[in-house]
Parts: sequence; C-alpha cells; structure tokens
Amino acid sequence: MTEDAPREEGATVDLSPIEIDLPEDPDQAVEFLTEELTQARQSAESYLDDLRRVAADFENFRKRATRDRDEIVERASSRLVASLLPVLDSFDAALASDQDRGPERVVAGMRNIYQQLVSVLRAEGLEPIEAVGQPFDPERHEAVAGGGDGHLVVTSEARRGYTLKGRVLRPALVEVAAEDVSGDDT
Amino acid sequence: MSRAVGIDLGTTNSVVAVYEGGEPAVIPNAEGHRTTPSVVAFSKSGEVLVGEVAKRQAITNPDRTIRSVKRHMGEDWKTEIDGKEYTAQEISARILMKLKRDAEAYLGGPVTQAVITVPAYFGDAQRQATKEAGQIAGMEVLRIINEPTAAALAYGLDKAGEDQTILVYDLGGGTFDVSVLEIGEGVFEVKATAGNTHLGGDDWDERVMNWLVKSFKDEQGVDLSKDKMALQRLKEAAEKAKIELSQVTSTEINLPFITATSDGPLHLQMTLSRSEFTKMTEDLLAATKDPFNQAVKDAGIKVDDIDHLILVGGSTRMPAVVDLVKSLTGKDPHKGVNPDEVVAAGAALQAGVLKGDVKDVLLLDVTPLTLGIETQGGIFTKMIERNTTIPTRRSETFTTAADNQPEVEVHVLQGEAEMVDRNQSLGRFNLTGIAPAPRGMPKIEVTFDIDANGIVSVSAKDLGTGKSQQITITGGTALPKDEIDQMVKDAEAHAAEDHARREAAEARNQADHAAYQVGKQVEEHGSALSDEERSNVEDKLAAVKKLLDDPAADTAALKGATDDLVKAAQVIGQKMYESQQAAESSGDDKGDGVVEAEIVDEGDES
Repeated sequence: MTEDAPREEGATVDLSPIEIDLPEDPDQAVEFLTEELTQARQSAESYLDDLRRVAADFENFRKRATRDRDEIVERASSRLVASLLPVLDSFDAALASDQDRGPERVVAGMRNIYQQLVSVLRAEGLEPIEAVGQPFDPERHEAVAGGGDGHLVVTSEARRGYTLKGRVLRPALVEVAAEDVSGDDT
Repeated sequence: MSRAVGIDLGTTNSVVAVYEGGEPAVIPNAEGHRTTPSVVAFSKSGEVLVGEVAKRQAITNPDRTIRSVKRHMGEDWKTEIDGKEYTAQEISARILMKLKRDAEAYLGGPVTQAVITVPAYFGDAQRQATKEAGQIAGMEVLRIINEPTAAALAYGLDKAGEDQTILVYDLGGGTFDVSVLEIGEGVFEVKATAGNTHLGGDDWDERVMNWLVKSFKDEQGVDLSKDKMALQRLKEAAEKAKIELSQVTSTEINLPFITATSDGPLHLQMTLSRSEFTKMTEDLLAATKDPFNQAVKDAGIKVDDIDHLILVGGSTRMPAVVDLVKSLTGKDPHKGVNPDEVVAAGAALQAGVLKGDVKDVLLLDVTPLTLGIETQGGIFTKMIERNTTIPTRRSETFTTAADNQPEVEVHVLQGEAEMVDRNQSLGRFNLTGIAPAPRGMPKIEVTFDIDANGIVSVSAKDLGTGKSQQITITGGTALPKDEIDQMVKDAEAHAAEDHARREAAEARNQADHAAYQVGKQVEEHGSALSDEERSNVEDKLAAVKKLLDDPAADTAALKGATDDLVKAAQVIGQKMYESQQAAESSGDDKGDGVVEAEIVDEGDES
C-alpha cells in the first residue's frame, strides 16, 4: 500500500566562511587550529547545555502551569458549588416539610427555589436565549423541525437555550417556519 | 512566522492541532470546542456555514447542507448550489478553511501549511482530492499521511525500533477501522486495513436509548418514542450514561417530568449497570472482531506478531472495548493521548518534523524518582520532584539544629516516601567549618543539579564563610523500571503511616524550636514579667521539655503543649512591645493599638 516517511532532515544552518589569520608555519597553524577547535567545541557543548536547560525549564514550567490550571478549575467549581448550596438547603427543607398540608404553599416554595437557582446562575453570567418570534439564527438556535422558503422565524421552543458570559452554552431547540406562515398562528 | 498545523479531516468530525513548545496541542475552534463537525451548509442568504452552526440549521435546509463529504472524496461527485457545482474537495476545503481560520485566531498569525490525514484505505484519487482540498483552502499540503500512521507517530513509535508491528483499532462516532502497520528504517508501511464504514459509538448510544424507551413503556405504559422533546433528553442522557459507565460500574439516569398523562407528571429514573450495558451492546462489539481478524490475516501475520496496540476514537474509552482488544491481541494498549485527538496530534507532530521544529537533540528525559535530602527527625525533604524534566537545578537554604553546630551532614536520597528510611540512599557528605553561631542562624545553601545524562551532583555551601562541599552521584540513580514502580508502590502503600510519622517528627521539631525560642526570651526579657506570668511561661516550657525527653510522646499532646507554650509566651512579646512604646512616646499616650507579637517560627531544619 502506501508509505509515510515520518522524519526528514531539519532545516540546515547556513554557515558562512570564517576569516582566520593563520600562522605561516604549518606546525603553528595546526596548534592554532587545534586550540580554536577545542574552544569551539567547548562553547558548542556549553551552548547545547544551556539550550537543554532552557528547554527543560520550559517543560517543567509547562507541567507546573498545567497543574496550576487544573487546580484553578477545581477551585472554580468549588466556588460555584458553594453558591448552589443554599438551593440544596431549600430542597432539603421542602422535602422535610409536610407536603400534604398546604400543597399550594409547597408549589409556591418550589417557585421560590427556582428563583433562587436562577439568581445564582444569573450571577455566574447565565442568560436565556430569546427564541419564539425571533428570526432563526443557527448561531443560537438549533432547528428540530420546520423549514420552508423565505425568511425563517422561530415558531416554538422545545427546550430553552442559554449563553454563559456571552458564549452559547447550549442552543435553544426550536421549530421554525417561513415568516409569512408563522403569522397565521395568532 | 507562518505556522504548519496537523489536521484530522474526519467523516463526522475534524480536529486541528499544532506542534508548539515541544509537543502537539489541539486548537479549540471559535465556539470553544476541540472538535468541529464536518458539516457544510449554504444558507439561503448565500452565507457558507461550517461546523456546529451548519449542523443546527440542517433540518431547515437539507438540500443545501452537506454531511460526510469525505465519503465522496476522489469520486466524480458534485452538488449544485444556486446554479454552481461543487466538488467534494471544494466542500472539504470549506471545512479546512474554518479550521485554518480558527487556528489563525488562536495562534495569532497566519497558518499556511498543513499535514492532513486520510484513512489508510484511501487510493491515489482520494489522496489527490484531499490535497486539492487543502490547496483550495489556501494551504500548502506538506504531506498526506495515513490516520493510523499519525496515531503511531503521536505515540512516538517511529522510534520504537526496527521491524515492529503495530495494530491500530479505530472506533469513531460512525466508522470503524483496523489497520496493521509495520515500521522499518523509520518508515511506516500499511500492511492491511479492514473495517465497517457504518459502525460507531452512536450505535451504542442508540441501544441505551432504546432500552430507556422500552423500560419506560413497560413500567409506565407510555411510549416516549413519539415525543420529540423527550427523545432529545433521552439521547443526551444515553450518551452521558455511556460515558459515565467508562468510569463507574453503575449510573443513574434521572429525567424528572419526562412526560405527563391525565394522572399527572411522570418521572424517569433508572439505574444502568456496566454489565447490563455491556450485554445490550455485545453484538456491536462482536461486530468489530471480523474486521480485526481480516486485517491480521491480510497482513500475513499472526496475532502474536503484534508488538504495539493503539486505540483511536472516543468509543475506545469504553472498558468493554479495551477488554476485547486486549483479549484479541494479548497486549495492553498504549495510553496517554486522548483517543479523539491522537490522529491530529500525530499529524501536528509530523508537520513539526517537516518544518524542522522537532529536534532530536533536545529529547529530554525526566527524573524517575523524587530526589531530596534528610532533615531533622528523619524527614525526607524533596528537592526535585519525580517527572521533572532534566537537565535542571534547584537550590534551597537550610540551617543548623543546635547552637554552635560545627558541621552539617547532607544525606542525599531518592524515593517517594515522606520519611528517609523507606527511600534509597544515594550518598552523604559533611560540610564542616561552620562558624559558631546560635542554631537557625547559619545559612547553608544546598543545590541539586541533574545534567542531561541524569548525573546528579549535590553541593552545600555555607553562605557565611563561603565554604562548600559537593558530591556527584553516578549511575546510582539509574534503576530498572520495575524497581522504580516498586518504590512508588511501596511509598503509596505506606503513605498514611509515613505521613503520621512525618507529622510526629514535625511536631517534635516545632516543639523543640518553640522551647528554644521561649527559653531564650525568658532569659532576656523575663525580668519584665510579673512572677505569676513568668512562672506560667516556665511551667508550660517545662511541660514541653518533658514531652521532648520522652521519645514515645504522643503527637497530639506535643502539639497541644507547644500551642499552650506559644500562647503563654505571647505575654513576653506584649511586654517587650509595651516597654518599647512607653520609651518611644512617653508624652503621647495612645492607649490602644496593642499588637500581639507572635513568637512562632517555621521550624528550620538542618
């Protein structure tokens, strides 16, 4: 079948010739060049070591950054969870209450708990996406049914969508229709 | 600088990655997701939509929404939109353009080159079409490589040695492929491929969904399959359950108010165990066996010849899949790279190699075990944590534990236990000639340096006198892998016990430190205290000293006595502060603002 060559030579370095004042005497020249070469090798070795250390430092930095980021993410969720605890408390209280005596009050309480939850989530930056009556926008709406020729408008919402701090967290699930048709409903 | 990326141009989803800072990294798209649906749509207003957005409007615009165009690559396939004909490569190019655009936004610079992956069974026409798609998208296609080869590259198997046989098992959302690769002289050769173009993780979700619908019908008599809204919730819950069952052995599916009858609302609440899930999807899993055997047969190898096993595709996270492949091959799969992203990662790596960004000279090792020194009380103080990339160097300053201590011993060890006795000693040396000074005063800088070859040198320098001493540990740190694993395991097994011992040693160090400090203060400033205050402090001091003399003293008792002592001794600081204030501002008496000096110090060790 086919072959993939996984590696290839890296970019080659362009070395321009170096100007050296070479001694006339051949023995001296050899000595001079040997000395030069030794020094060049030493400095090459020391640069390579520096390079390795910088690369290793970077690698260790990245490991630490990843660890820090994971920690931040964890802490961020614990902050959110803490802000949701009052909602949990309300549910506990609701379930502990005598539900047979005053079901209307229980339902009213449920509405309050809902409000409590909504206000926590709003504080986090959650906003519902407007749907019914809006022009169909696939950036924010996901069509589950409908279509037609012409300008599409959302006619009903099957599930609410949300944005979090301006970014779509979940699109609204909607049914759509071409504009002139949607007017017939009312 | 323009960048080269690696692109996994998939049938249902695509991924783009870049080689950056020594490793491949997946680039999230503009919507913040790491995969982009391979869907292209032409809206009625003439806009071209790609990815999530195209998917969301698909039902309203079916004639102008194109999915799975990859299945048509290299064919004489065309689609007509608004009187213009588009080939498969032109549609694919739209996907690549979005990936390119999102990568450019993420990287903050132009992306002009790419390595793109294709299935191993793609022929020349299909490869050519893929290359054209890249060019239409405005990128130079550095190379087209096979998906299984990219996965093998991501695991570094090009360096695995000569004549290795690799089996790649790729179970995606909607397609299944098995490939057998052979590597020789650094070149991969695809020996055989087999698969099923209509089998994938979505089939597993569907089974769970059908089970939910059936169970609900049996229990409540209501058929949820007619309810579009309920189905949507079931679909999401089914996928979530599948994913959870990869981690836990049982999951709860809870969908309150899933529907309503004349009797009121109905709630769905069911428990699905991993074994039930495995049973209901058994035939799907079994369906991957034939292609597996076929590929092995076509490659002309025996199962025993397989040296490496690689899993690709999110569905290979399912434990049943791993178990099956393990039992088929008798091998453990390579782990560590996200199976959804491994192909794109390999492509990015290849792009890095072709661009000369991957330099073998800088392949750096990591330390297999933590290195450190012994400090007071037999505590192992870590200097360089395990898995730190080398070469590296780290210094820390220590001090003496006794007054006029003339020398310190530096005992170098490696291991993961908190106490020295469970770790391996690498060597020790003394730094002598420390100038006479109260304990805690001398500053001794201990430096660990590991060079690129893993040779550890440890030096200690008295910052007061400039005297230093060092040791080089050669070969001693190199342990066979199983011994390293054993040490890590031992440390884990005894972690709680060692931790308690460490706490005891630290409590003792702190008690000793506090006793020393308070004793000195009483000596210096005791005259400022009333007899009652002084005897109170002295009593507490005696209590701590008594506990310190008892080697079996309880840790909690020691901590309590230390706290009592520190609290009692606060009066000394207070007196010192008051007398100082009185001396400074005898005329301007403010009266308030008394600050309690704290006489606590972190226990320094030698």
